[in-house]
Amino acid sequence: MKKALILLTSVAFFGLTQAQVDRSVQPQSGPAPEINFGTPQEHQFKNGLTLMVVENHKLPQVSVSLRVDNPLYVEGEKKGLSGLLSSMMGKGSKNIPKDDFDEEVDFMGASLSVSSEGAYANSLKRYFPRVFEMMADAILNPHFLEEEFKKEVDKTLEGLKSSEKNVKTAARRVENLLSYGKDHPFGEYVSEESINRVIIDDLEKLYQNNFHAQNAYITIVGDIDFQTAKKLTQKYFGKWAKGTVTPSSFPKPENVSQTQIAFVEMPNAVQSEVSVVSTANLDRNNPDYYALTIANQILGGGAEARLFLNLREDKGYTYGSYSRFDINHKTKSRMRAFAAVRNAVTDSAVVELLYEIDRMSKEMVTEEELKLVKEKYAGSLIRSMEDPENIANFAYNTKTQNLPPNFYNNLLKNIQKVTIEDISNVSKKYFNPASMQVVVTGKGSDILTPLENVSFNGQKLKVLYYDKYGKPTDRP
Amino acid sequence: MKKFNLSLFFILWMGCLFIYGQKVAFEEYDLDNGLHVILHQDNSVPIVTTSVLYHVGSKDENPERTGFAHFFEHLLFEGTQNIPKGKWFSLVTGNGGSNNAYTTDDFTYYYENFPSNNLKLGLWMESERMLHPIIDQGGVDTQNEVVKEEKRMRYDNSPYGKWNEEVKSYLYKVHPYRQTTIGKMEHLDAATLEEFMAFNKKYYIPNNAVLTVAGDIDIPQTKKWIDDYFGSIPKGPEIVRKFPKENPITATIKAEAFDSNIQIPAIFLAYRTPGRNSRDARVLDVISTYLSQGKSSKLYKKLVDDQKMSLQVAAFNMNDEDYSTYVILSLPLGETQLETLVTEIDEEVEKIQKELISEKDYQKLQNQFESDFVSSNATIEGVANSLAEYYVFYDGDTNLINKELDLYKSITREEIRTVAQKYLSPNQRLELRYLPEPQKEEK
Repeated sequence: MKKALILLTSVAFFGLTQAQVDRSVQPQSGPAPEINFGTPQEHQFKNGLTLMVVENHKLPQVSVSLRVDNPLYVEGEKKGLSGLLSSMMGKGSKNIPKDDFDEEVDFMGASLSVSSEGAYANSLKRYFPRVFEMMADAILNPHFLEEEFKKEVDKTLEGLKSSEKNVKTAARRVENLLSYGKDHPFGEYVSEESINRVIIDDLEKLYQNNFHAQNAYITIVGDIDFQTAKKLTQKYFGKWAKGTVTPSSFPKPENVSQTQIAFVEMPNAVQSEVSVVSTANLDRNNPDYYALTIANQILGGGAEARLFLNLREDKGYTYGSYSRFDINHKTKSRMRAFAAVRNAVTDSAVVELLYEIDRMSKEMVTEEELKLVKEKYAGSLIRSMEDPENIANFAYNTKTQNLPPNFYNNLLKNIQKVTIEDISNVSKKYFNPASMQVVVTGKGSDILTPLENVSFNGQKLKVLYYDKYGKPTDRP
Repeated sequence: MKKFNLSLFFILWMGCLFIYGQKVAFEEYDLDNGLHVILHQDNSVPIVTTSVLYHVGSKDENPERTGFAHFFEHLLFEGTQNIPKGKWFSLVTGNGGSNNAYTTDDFTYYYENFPSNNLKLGLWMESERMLHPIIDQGGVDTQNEVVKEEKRMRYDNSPYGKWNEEVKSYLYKVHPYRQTTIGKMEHLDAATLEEFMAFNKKYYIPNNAVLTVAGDIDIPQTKKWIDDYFGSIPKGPEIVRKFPKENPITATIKAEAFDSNIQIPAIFLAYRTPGRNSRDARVLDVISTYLSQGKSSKLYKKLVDDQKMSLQVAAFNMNDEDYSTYVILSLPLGETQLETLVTEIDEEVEKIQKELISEKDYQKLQNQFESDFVSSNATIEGVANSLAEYYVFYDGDTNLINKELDLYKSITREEIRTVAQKYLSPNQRLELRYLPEPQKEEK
């Protein structure tokens, strides 16, 4: 009897909960979780080297990155030198022959890579001290062998050849060139000629210029304690010397005075790469940073943003259309709004991209759009807490970009303060529809004539012609 | 009969965390409608992943209507009876989440990552998608164009983008693995709305799906919400899969393919090997690692490093449900001929077939697998995905997530030799010469 009663009530209870769920109503969020990034433990050694450690004992592995924070430099007629230095670093050391070095790293199941600006390694906890020691050896005692150098030159040349018909490669190369200029670190590009000008002595010179203790930051993340990390760093990097970096000068990127189309001919293209680019002075210390971050998200931050909804979900022109602001504190930052579209709709895609950019400064965004992006931003910050390397990255940015110490802890608060008016103001300032370059890389015989008839704000846009290396040409 | 399958690995979770470092605790059960549920609690970060794996992929498609499973990966973001068209993405991101989906030959996987205060929302959205998605002509028409752009971007305009399609077309004569996930555009153009709706009705049902919830969750609360939103979704008729079997390959298949996006040719050696739920498939994974993972691996060291005849070399086993495809590929450097690469690769494979690998190399492989294993459980999203795949493709053995490393470690040197002999002989393979499109007029 009693049993039956219990059964009865539980059935009633079940029935009740079933009835309570109204699936036509979107569930409400629970209370928002707190964001707490914490800060790495830190130590600066006598030689100026900075160590940051984030202990995380969830998995029995440790990773380390070493970054050298140097000014940007132009490689000029030897463009490709830094790439070659990257491929030559980590080929063993003066103490360990390359084959033994590779064999030992693989034996430990570890990964270790060294570049012209630093190194990264990841290993099981039990092998970490040795992996760290080998990383230090590779950085401090690189060995540049003629035979290896030749091989890397050959591989680089072959790599260039292999991507010669790659539409995306050509598009990015010319977009960079036209955004920053040919004598700028981000505008110059690697060619067969420039690679062939590099000699092995150049590697040594560049290495000597790049690697100095006072500009170096080591971050260690994972299953290790701070004291051990500090001792290891002292032992293997304690004697690393300070030095001077020769600065490099290059012209400041300028925007065009009138919006125009740059057409890049790639006869094998079945899709056109369309990018709208411009540059601006903007770093994380700039008060406009927060509003512009939001504005960019509304324009093209993802699958819920205007570009995607218009060019993909409404028109079906493309698999995806987005915009990015590459924030840089060492040179101008660049805005790029883009899509890869089928040949037949290339001109229409240009029109829609420009329309959406223009609309940012002409109309106010809606409350709804603003709220959505703020939530999105908060969510992505919360989700980024999962990877402990982010804590180290935030600390690194704070130090090297001269940010206020609480920049990342206040980030969300500052984002939340952004208003509709702020967005309108920064859009007018940074999405200037009158001085944009539209770079279209594709098959001229299919797309050029319609492209030459594109009008924007009542004016036909001027079209300039380039080859796949960004050299001006006649109409193909 | 409903089997109530409850594996409890939940006790002493914190203890496990401390002692084993990475034991993945989970709980699993079936709802009455056949939906399999897997829960994994990890409260270290306030995030949660909700995912649904539908056991439907390109191999389930009508050979005259390829690309359907992938097409649904687009259609099922269009909206549901309670989520207006075009609002799916903004509902996710507007609540701090991210989402995506992907399609393979065997399954389609949908997921959202949210801050953990939006778990209920994630469950609601996935249940809406399972119960009553809106599939209409407007959505079909738009996504048809989008998928074509995806195909152009990923395959037609992309260097070496068509190798997988080519390899599959030669290795599989009767089994639907000969189809590609992106499918044929003429099939999608010809497909009617009724055909799409029938496909949805047949495959996107609770008894063909696994719901995984992982992260910062409260188990009883999560179970209640799952009951609320998924419990009332009707079960569908059982799906019967009967795919034709391939005859063994006994003579080398030689073929050529052309790509207008490349200048450097490539050689693909491809073998048809056993499905993923087999010990031999794991042994082949070990052989791949031996051949091409890391700079000291046999093929990399020899072809790329010592002899400088190759720009790139890779060996990998693409593990699928019914068969796997084992591929060794290489791009020549300089004047090297593709034939030379084949000879050199064969020499290394023959060594594995004739001799035991060295004790030292064997120990290296054990370390490499341990390291990969530790990294593979680093994110909640990754753990959720692994749990679902283990359940679906390994006879319901979800706990493989905690045992797989031991399985790999139990593979002996003798087994490596035997498996190489059994599957990797030249007469069992396709040799695909992947060549630049012959020169036309060039500007």
